Amino acid sequence: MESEAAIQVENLRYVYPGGYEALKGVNLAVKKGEFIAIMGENGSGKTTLIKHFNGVLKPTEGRVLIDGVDTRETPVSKLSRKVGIVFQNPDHQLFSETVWDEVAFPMKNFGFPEQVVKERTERFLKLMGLYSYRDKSPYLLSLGERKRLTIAAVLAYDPEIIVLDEPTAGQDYIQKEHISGTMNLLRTMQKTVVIVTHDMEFVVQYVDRIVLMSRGRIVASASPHEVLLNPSLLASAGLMPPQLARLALQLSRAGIYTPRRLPETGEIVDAVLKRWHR
Amino acid sequence: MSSPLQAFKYVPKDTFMDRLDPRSKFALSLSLLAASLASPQLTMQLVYLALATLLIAAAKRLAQWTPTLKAISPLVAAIFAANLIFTPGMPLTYATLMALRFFTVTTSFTLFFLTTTPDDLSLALEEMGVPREYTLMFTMSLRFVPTLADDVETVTAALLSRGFQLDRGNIIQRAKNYVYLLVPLIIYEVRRSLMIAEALEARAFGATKKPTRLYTLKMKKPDYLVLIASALIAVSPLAPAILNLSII
Ligand SMILES: Nc1ncnc2c1ncn2[C@@H]1O[C@H](COP(=O)(O)OP(=O)(O)OP(=O)(O)O)[C@@H](O)[C@H]1O
Ligand SMILES: [Mg+2]
Repeated sequence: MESEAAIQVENLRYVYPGGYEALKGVNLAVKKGEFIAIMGENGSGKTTLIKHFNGVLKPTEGRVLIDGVDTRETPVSKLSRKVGIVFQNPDHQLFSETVWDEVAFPMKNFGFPEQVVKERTERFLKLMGLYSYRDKSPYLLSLGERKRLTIAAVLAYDPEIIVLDEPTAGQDYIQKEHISGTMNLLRTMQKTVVIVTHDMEFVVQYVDRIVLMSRGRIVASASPHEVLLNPSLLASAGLMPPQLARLALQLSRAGIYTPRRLPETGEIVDAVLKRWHR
Repeated sequence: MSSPLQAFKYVPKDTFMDRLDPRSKFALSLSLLAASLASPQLTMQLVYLALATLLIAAAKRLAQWTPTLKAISPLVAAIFAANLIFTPGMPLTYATLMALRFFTVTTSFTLFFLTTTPDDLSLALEEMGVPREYTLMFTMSLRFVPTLADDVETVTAALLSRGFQLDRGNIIQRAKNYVYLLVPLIIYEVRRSLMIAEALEARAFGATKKPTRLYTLKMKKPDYLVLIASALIAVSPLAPAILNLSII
């Protein structure tokens, strides 16, 4: 059913002004409440694709529908109320004098009441572990902190669809846990989420579906288990299976264990022990 | 990039003009310019303009040159009109002369910039004794025009994505809106230049006063021919008088 798709991409082709064809006919439908990851080698067109979701880029051919609305017919500033994008490079998206204002900025643009702006700014700064920096200039933060600040700024205005370009890049373990916690929150809020990432372990925990891209095309779209246990598929998108998957596959070749889904460490240990005691 | 700036962007092609030494190309452009400024005859201006155009055509850059022509046309029209109004005596001839001259001057310079890589240009400047710090600054600033244009686009996109409307409000409000664009842009460019400075130092820029070169400029036979031609062009404004031609 068409009305069910939050994001509907049809035969999307995109050619950059310089003449480089970055997307060569992409079809993708993301259902409401779905949580997907887009993965693929550097330069495969992931960022180019997600920039179409709020109309920052307009299709050269084909079309993109957000909740049934064609992105070519709606201004970006309006689509952005529905689709919040955290771009890859935080430095291009910090505009305010203080960390606090940075998070409040989009909410003010969208006309939120003052009290709400205050509450939500505080809540999301705390969520991202940035509340103590609230009076600092955003440019004095470290790269990882700046990235989390841009995440806070988008989540705070509560868009229905949230797109994150490499949210975990450059984050240490603890901050990754923070971001993970936020992903869980988004899940329970039943938001539609698209994340672009190279982080396999991160993906396995949260997403319903992995969309694999390679050279401007979608080469696969399946559950994380199917994709991550299929080395040739991953290789076609320039990716390596996660260690656990490689171990499971090797054990399966040795006839010790047949993975149907990506195993937990415990399952592998059990299988090996069972074989050992036989 | 907007089209008038296109005039100074080097697009690599393999033509006679591209293979010339930048110094002889510079001499050629300069002699056309000087001749055009020195010559008071319409006919001679037409000859110089035709020559410059032919050279651009030989360098296969006509398509890049036309946007520049379009961009300067209003200016040429203004020059023509001003001279027509304010010149005593024969205003039509003089106004045409001035307009043609402006075309010739821009065309001869476009010829140089369209066919010379920024790298060649800085090499030539160094050979002429300009310190390396300055030539590097020059090539880098050219190199950053397209990068800056990309950054403007990216920051604008990010602003719109936060629900900001750049074209909101009255004129003053709109001007203020652009501050939001400038802040991240300036900070980003300053950061970038600091990074470049560090990267240059990390690669030992300035460690020796006279570094050796991977590429050096060398004049070849065609270059000498071009130099001779340039000398002839430079003295050509005298031709009508010497040959006793009565042209306008
Ligand atoms: N502004 C631009 N102009 C011209 N080409 C571009 C531009 N931006 C990206 N490209 C090209 O388009 C292709 C896809 O770029 P894109 O940024 O979408 O890749 P990506 O999958 O996000 O890569 P990464 O994993 O490195 O972020 C690349 O080959 C890139 O060189
Ligand atoms: Mg990217």
